[in-house]
Amino acid sequence: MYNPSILLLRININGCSLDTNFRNTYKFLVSKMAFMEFTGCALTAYSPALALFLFTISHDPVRIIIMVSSAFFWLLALVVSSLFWNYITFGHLLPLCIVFSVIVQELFRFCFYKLMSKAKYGLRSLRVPNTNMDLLKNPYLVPYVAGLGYGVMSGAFSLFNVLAALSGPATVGFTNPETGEAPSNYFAFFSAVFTMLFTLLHVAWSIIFFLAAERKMWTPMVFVVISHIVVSLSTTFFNPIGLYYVSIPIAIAVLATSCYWPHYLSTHPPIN
Amino acid sequence: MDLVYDANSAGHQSRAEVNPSSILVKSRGPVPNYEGVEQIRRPVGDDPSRGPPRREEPLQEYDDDDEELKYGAAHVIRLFVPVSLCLLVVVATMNSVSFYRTRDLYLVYTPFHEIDPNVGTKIWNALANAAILLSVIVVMTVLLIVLYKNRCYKVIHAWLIMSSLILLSIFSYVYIVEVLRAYNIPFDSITMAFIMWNFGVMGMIAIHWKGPLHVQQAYLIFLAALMALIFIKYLPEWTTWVVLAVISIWDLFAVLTPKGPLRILVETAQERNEQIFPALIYSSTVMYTLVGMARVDTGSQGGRMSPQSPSNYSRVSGEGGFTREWEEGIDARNAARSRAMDSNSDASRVPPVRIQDPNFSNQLRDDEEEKGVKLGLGDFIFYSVLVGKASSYGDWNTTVACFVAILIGLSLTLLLLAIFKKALPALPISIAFGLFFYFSTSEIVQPFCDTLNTRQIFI
Repeated sequence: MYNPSILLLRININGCSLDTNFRNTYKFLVSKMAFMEFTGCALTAYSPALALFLFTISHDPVRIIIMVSSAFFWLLALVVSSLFWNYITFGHLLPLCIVFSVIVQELFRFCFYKLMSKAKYGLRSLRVPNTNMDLLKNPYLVPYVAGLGYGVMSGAFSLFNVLAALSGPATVGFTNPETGEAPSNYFAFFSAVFTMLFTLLHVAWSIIFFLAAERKMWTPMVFVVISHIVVSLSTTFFNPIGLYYVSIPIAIAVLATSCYWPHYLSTHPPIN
Repeated sequence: MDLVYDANSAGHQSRAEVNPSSILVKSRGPVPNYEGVEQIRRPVGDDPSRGPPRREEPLQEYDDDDEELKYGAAHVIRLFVPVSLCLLVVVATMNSVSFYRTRDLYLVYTPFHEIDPNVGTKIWNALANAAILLSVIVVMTVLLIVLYKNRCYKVIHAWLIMSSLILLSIFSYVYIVEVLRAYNIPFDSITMAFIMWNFGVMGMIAIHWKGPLHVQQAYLIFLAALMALIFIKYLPEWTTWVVLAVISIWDLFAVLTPKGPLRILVETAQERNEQIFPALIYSSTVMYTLVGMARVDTGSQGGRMSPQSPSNYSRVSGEGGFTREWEEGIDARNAARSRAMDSNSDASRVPPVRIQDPNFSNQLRDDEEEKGVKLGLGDFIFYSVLVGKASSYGDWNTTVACFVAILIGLSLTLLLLAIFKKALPALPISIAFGLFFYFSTSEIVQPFCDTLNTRQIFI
């Protein structure tokens, strides 16, 4: 690209103007930074989910279908929350909308749990030898797959447009819409980190929620809702003013707790 | 554009073959033969090579319906992958090549160009355009049915070959040139001519005669993507959305009503034990067929069993949504495929009986070919038009939402197919979901998501 003889060749062959070629070359040079930022952020955000998908989901058609359906449920939840934001609060009272949105998401998670338990019942009644038995035997599989679907969809909606903006020329972040401040240099990076954390959080929450719903234990379900609200509200209050060092530890702590809880549930089976 | 439950299409054999074929999909269990003869069991799933083929065990009772639900999942995925690839090609092109985003020319069928800024006029224009386009499609469909009813196969084949040739030569050339221009890559004419010649000829051979399955599939996906890009470029803005809605309603009508043309097509083809216009159909089965062939050989019954086709319903696309070029490609392609199949069976030393008996080989071909998962290229095209159009406004959330909506619609359609076991239209559910999520996402969700993204709020 930098070789002048190549440029010359291009001009001769293409018949384009010199100006065009130089401009394009320049654009390429500038966009190297954008490309690196884009790749780094995309991999930060999505590589855990991608690895989980490739190694645990992609080989089984039923899991892929469950995952896509779960993603679809998250989408429905998002549409409902957006309706609330648009037509009930008219774009104000953002914290209230966040709380509402979290509750709607958890409601849809419950609906998806109901759907899955019906589907599982159907599968069990099939009596088909050697079919999807791991799905029936392993109680963590459906919750995990559903959670990954939720998380991936949430991650896609949180970061895709940011990534698209980053790949453009010289974008580091967005200016704060309220204060008009210039964005932090780490805007993109922290967005990516939060996306990754939320993807994993959704997996953990789904596992807890489904297991608890199966055993009719209300405490873990309430824990899921409350911790989801807490993490989302912490991003609502702290991220716009740049206090990442408050919101990230909260998210990580909740993630750790949520990851431990399924382990606890699995090692302490219900008494009946 | 419809889904066909195809148990009866292959004459007396097929009913009996439902069981073996269906169990083969998931199959680790024994496979009963229709004659009660023990038969070879092959694991077929995503991965035909997974696990060694084993010899038979005793017959076993099992429920037909259960099997269908079960291997339905594998089939859904075999459609997910090509649909996703096609959408990927279209979306990537829309986002990198500005040629397909700019609107300068229009199709002949859409004489109203929506230039007037008045919304009422625009709606009126869009409706009129869609009506004209739909009537063209209806006329072409009826023409095709008439030709098919009267067994004018040569005319249909010529039609299909001509149109696929045009797509593979002229439109592919335009595509390649625009991609090169978008990335500012210099290219000399000699190399270009060389590449175009090889690309086009290979495509014609793979589609209409024979070729490796993956090459064939890749060409079909590319053709669908190309056609979708053409629609996106040459249809006016609002017309595209109206056309999508109208086409899916037409699909519903054409497949479900007793006198619907596609239904007539399906029924005629089943009466004749023929393939339904395969050249316009993406098929996932041939590979299994070939693998199965070798096995058939080793079985005691030779060619009579043809156990390997993984599904007993096939998804066949008539041409509800095809433009005239589209209607073409299909038939020839299928004929080609069956020819390839026959020659392949020769290669694998099939007992002579099968080759000599034309009736038998016909049945065999039906079983093998029609039982795979098939998706009409028309479905590919209109899914891609929807998602490509959604992505042309530059919002990735909308694109993702439409993508997921279409996949869910596809799964639901296959679920309904397993329940009703009759020809079903493939477009309506997916397109309805896609349209709903396009408009709701771009109008309602997007402002909300923008607010969240810029403030780095995560929910």
